[in-house]
Amino acid sequence: MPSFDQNVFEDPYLVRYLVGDLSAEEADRLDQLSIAHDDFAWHLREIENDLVDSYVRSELNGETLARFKAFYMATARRRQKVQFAEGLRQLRATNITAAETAGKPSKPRVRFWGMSAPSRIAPQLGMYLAALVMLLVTALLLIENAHLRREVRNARAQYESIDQRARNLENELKQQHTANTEAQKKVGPSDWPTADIGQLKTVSLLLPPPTRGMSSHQTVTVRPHTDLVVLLLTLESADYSRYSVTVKDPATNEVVWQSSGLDAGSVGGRKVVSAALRANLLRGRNYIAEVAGLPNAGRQRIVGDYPFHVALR
Amino acid sequence: MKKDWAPTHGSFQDFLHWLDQGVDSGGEKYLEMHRRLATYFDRKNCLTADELADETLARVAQKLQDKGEITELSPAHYCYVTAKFVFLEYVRHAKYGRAGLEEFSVSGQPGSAPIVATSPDDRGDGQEKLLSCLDRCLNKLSAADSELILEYYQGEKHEKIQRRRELGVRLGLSANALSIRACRIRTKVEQCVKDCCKSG
Repeated sequence: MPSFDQNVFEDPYLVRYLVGDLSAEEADRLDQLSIAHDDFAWHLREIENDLVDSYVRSELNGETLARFKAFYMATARRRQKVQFAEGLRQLRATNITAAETAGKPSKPRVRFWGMSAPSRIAPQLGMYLAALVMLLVTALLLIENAHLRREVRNARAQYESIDQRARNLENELKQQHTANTEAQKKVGPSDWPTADIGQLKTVSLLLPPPTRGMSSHQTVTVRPHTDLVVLLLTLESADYSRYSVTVKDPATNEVVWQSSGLDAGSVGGRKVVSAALRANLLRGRNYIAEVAGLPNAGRQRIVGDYPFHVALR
Repeated sequence: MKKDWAPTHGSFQDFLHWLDQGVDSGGEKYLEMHRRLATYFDRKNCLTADELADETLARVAQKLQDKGEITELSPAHYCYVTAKFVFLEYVRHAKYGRAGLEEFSVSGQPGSAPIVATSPDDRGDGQEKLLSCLDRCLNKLSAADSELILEYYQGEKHEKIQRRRELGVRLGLSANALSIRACRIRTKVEQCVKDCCKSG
């Protein structure tokens, strides 16, 4: 029987294990227990179910949420667990709605799918309820479908604006280059790269505001000749006049790149912060772009984490 | 890795008997160990977690057949030790891309994060199908089990804890027994939904 101490049963510790936040040595110990110790294996499974349920109910936040998105959502098998939890959540919500509509208490006494209603309910009433629920489900699906179509249209409109925004950024870079060249002429040679910024190859990625629902990492493809990666980070609301962007590797928390103060621009009617960083700073892995608002006085405040994935071609 | 080895009916029965440790579980211990191993490999971000779990159990069964008995470790602990070796081999094959890579059907490094992009339309279709499968799988449960799983996982934070306490009292189960029962049902439904979605 493997040895263990009591703290391996503590929920926060297990959550850290599940989101890949423990050292290799600690994780090894829990790996062993998860296979060889019955009580631990079942307890861990319960914590994992609750963790995934919390995620689909938007109850996670901070570091746990960031690590959940970056680590837990990394395999298809675990994403399936999240999808299952989301399905279960929707069923429960529908179940409660149906029970309330039928004037019943919210406890799920009657299964909404109506195939095997309790024997105390007359068959006719069961069929009426089933028909009513089917109607409700159909209506909900139609509403959701319309909502998704609207989101697709919005996304397309936003993507069409990216090109324009990228061109604007390139113009800004050209202007910056001109200014730099002038400055170099004044101060003499320096170690600044001599490549012509106007000729830089850029690739841009529009990231929507952070959500806690079902979402997958967006991927930016960096090719060998790509010089610059432009991140367009959509803001939920423009509460600050200036922002800073920090790009981190969530696996090590290492800061890969950090901006100075940036102004918010506009893409497709949405407020956006643009951050341009050298492509050679990025590797093929997941990153998080952390956006912080810079108030006129006081400390900066983080307004959102934007996970994304870099694919090298 | 001896991929061509396959257990005989007799050796497989011996293996099940050894996993059961004298209490006939009707194959449940085997299935549970497979789930634990697959979850272990998945936590290591292996892309073929189920196949690696199969490979681990096959190796243990073969070892048992060769040696006649394994007494130095418990069955579960022995499976874990074997799984560690299988994982290390997986990492080595994936890292150096040597011959034998195809044995694992590896399409990426362990520890990397394969991202599957889905469009909103795809997600909508997938979710619709998942709900339909979930509905079908819950229907296969007894009324008591389907009611239990819906009630056990309902509610947020304190409400959830209170609800589970009441449910335990109503069913005459301790918190631990109730939690294991709910987990078992959920695992069963998850597997059913997975199979249903895969079957199209």
